[in-house]
Amino acid sequence: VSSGLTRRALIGSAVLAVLIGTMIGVLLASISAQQAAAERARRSQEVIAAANDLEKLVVDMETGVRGFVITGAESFLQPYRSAARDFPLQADRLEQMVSADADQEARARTIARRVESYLDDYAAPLVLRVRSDPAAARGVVSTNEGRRRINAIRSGFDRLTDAETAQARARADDASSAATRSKILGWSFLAATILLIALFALYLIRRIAAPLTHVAGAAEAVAAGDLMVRVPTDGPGEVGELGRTFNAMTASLAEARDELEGQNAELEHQQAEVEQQNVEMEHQQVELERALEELASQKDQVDAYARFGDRIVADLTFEERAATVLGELADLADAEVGALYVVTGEGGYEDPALVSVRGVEPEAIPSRVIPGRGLDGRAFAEGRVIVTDRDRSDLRIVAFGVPVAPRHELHAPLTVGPRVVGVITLARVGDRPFSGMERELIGHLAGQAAVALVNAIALRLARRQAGITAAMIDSTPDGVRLTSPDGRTLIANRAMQRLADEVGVPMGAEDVAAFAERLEDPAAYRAEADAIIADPEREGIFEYTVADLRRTFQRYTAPVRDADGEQIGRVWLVRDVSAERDAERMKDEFVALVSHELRTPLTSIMGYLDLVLSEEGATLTEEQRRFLGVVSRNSQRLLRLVGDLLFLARVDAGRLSLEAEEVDLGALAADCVEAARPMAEEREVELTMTREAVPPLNVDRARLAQLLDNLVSNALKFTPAGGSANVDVRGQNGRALISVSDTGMGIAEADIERLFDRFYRTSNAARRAIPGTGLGLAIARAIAEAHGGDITVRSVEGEGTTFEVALPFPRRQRTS
Amino acid sequence: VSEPARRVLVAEDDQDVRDLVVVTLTRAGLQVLVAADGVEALGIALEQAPDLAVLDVSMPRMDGLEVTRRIRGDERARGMPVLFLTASVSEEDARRGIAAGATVVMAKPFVPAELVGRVRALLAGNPEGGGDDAPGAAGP
Repeated sequence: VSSGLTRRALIGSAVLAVLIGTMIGVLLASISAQQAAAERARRSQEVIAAANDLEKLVVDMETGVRGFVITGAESFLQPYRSAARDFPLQADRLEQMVSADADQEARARTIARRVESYLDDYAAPLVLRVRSDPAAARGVVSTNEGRRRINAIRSGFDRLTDAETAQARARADDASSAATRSKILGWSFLAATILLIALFALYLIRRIAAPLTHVAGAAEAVAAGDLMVRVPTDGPGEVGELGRTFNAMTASLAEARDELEGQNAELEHQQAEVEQQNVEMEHQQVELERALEELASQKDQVDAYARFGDRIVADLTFEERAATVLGELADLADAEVGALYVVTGEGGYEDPALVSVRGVEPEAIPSRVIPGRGLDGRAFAEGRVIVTDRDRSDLRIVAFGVPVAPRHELHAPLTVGPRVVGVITLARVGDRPFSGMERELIGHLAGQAAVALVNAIALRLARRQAGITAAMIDSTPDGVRLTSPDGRTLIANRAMQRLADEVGVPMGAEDVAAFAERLEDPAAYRAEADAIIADPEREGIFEYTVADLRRTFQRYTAPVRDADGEQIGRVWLVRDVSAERDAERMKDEFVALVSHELRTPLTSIMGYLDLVLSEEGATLTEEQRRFLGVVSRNSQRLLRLVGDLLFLARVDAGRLSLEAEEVDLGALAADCVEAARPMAEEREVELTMTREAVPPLNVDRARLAQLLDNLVSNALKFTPAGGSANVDVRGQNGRALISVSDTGMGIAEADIERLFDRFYRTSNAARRAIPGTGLGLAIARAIAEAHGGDITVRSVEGEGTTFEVALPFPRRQRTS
Repeated sequence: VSEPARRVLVAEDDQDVRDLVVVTLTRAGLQVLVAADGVEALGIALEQAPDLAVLDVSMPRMDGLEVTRRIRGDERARGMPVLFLTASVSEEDARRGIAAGATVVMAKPFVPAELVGRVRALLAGNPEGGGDDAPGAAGP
């Protein structure tokens, strides 16, 4: 776009230059043609002149010849000879001059030929004849042969000069018309050039100068402040662009100016405000000065506050502080009598209790303030200062041994924020009422005193709490320690100190590594320590044995949080469980020993009995056989008891190991039912079984059989003759259910809770002397739980009992 | 058919139990060699090369486990079947006995006829037969 204007100007100028150049070229060509025509005319004149000279030469020759012939005078021959001598050269020259015109050249050549013929055929022989025969010569002359020849030559010359003259005239006409044409052309070109230049200038003025003038005028208007002026933007290329740019610039100038004017107005407004403020400040200064004067007057009062504040916090214990508060306030108020009641929270009371007196015996006034009752009670309940004058009072104080009554009283509440924590009562014996200012002062100072007293109470409470806490944690034989999140010990009870001193239990992270080395399993201890560091939430019990002391400790740890739930540390409990572990070991050993020591004599008893009954049975009487049967049955019972005890001891020791295999529960239950059939028949109880197919279970076959045997034999034992018992197997809710139900005597509500306890016998069993050790159900439960299952019971006394064992199917999680 | 009586070593420290075993096996027609403790039992086992040893597990001087280990370690008696009698029957005890080299483990108290059956089966080279109880099973 930027080159548009330049390009247009260049193209316009070039067109103008080409037009003018063409015109001048045509003019020059016309002038040249005119010159050429003039030159040719001049040449024709020269040709005519040359022809005339030559003709004269020829005439001279004839004249000379004739004269010589007639006279015989040699002098006449002189012109003839020079003419004859010059003629060829002159003729050649003429021929050259007309060589451009073929007709003229032919004429010139004819002339030259005739002249040569005249000389060679007439003149020369005639001259020779004169010498030899002058008469003949004269006769020849008299024939006018020469003259005829010369005339012919001269007519040739005439034709040549006439043609040349006609040509010269024609050429002069040519030159003249060419000059005229040139003149016309010159004038025309001049007019055209003037017209073109005028058109170009007009164009420049219309399309460039005028818009620029517009812009210049607008710029002047802008400079003069008229920002609304706009210029046309329809000019070509840059000119239009200039117009648009100018308009945009003007618009933006107008905007800036408006903004400036706005700011200006704002500034003026602000200035006005500042001036207004200045006025106000002057007012305020006046007031400030007045306030300062007032302050100065209050300085004494403030000093009193400050002194009071200092004194009441000088003592730390609550009692001292209370006495100071009462004394100071009484002094300030010029009161002879005073009492201070504060809500201490002690003894569970929420009412203010008497904590300090002045000028009166504590027994003479109430020990508590009842809120709302009496002036002090009202001051407390309403939270405001109450002043009164009394005509009569029952209260007497002793002055100079004489009892006197207080005349003027002031009751001020002790407030901390919205809370009233006590009340102070001051009284004057003399007849001087409490002024408004005194009332205000005491009211303020009572507030200050309230804060100091509450703080003292809080401090006392905190100290007591700390004492209680320390006493409580010191009273346990377990080590208790609280650590900060970075592992420093914050609190450690006495037992913990002892464990640290005697055993070396770590009190900080720096002791852990050395302590771990002394343990039976250092790696486990270190791993646990690392786990606790890695997981601040970790909580749990860890047990370790100090190898060199042969002592075992149980450690419990858990994060400790404040009321907001933020972790403030970790608590550690360390308990010496050496004695318990020893006792457990001894119990295990004892059970193993008892088991062994009981089985060995049983082996002899039962073995010999068997020998007698089986091999010598024939020799026994029926009665002997019956007696020995009793011995055998009771030996079996004893043996089973030993087995049950050993089993439970193993459960306790966590050493009950299951030998799990895939078991068809229905088939196992059916086997148990069949094994119990003789007993059922003996007791006349109908024993049945119902079953649904269940998937195989992964269980210890012998243990599960033991469980079922226990339940079935219980059902048979507790069902009277004529009753029935049923074993049912089915799947339910992803578990296998084995139910053993009977129509027996049932279990009393009171017995159900303890039914699965060891050695527990139901009231029915005891009353009816049904034999049993009270271990069967405990074992049943232990087996069910070892398989990840459970056992439950439903019973209605007199109607029957149902035991239900639920066992998980194999794909579910097992805890065996 | 009279063939030489098979000889069985019986080692048991409790005299009454020992007598019971001896009587039971003698009545079954076996020749019994008797030892009252482990050292004695090992001596007889190695010197007299009985066909079978019935060993109590807990005995004075040397327990049944150790006797069995030594029998298994001596080429004179290496292949001898060993039947354990134990009063402290648990799976663990049974495993320890088998680990020490016992062929069969029987719980005390035992039914005499069952013991005879087990012993006969062992003498016939069949440790699994002769009884209906798996090793380590306690009484009902």
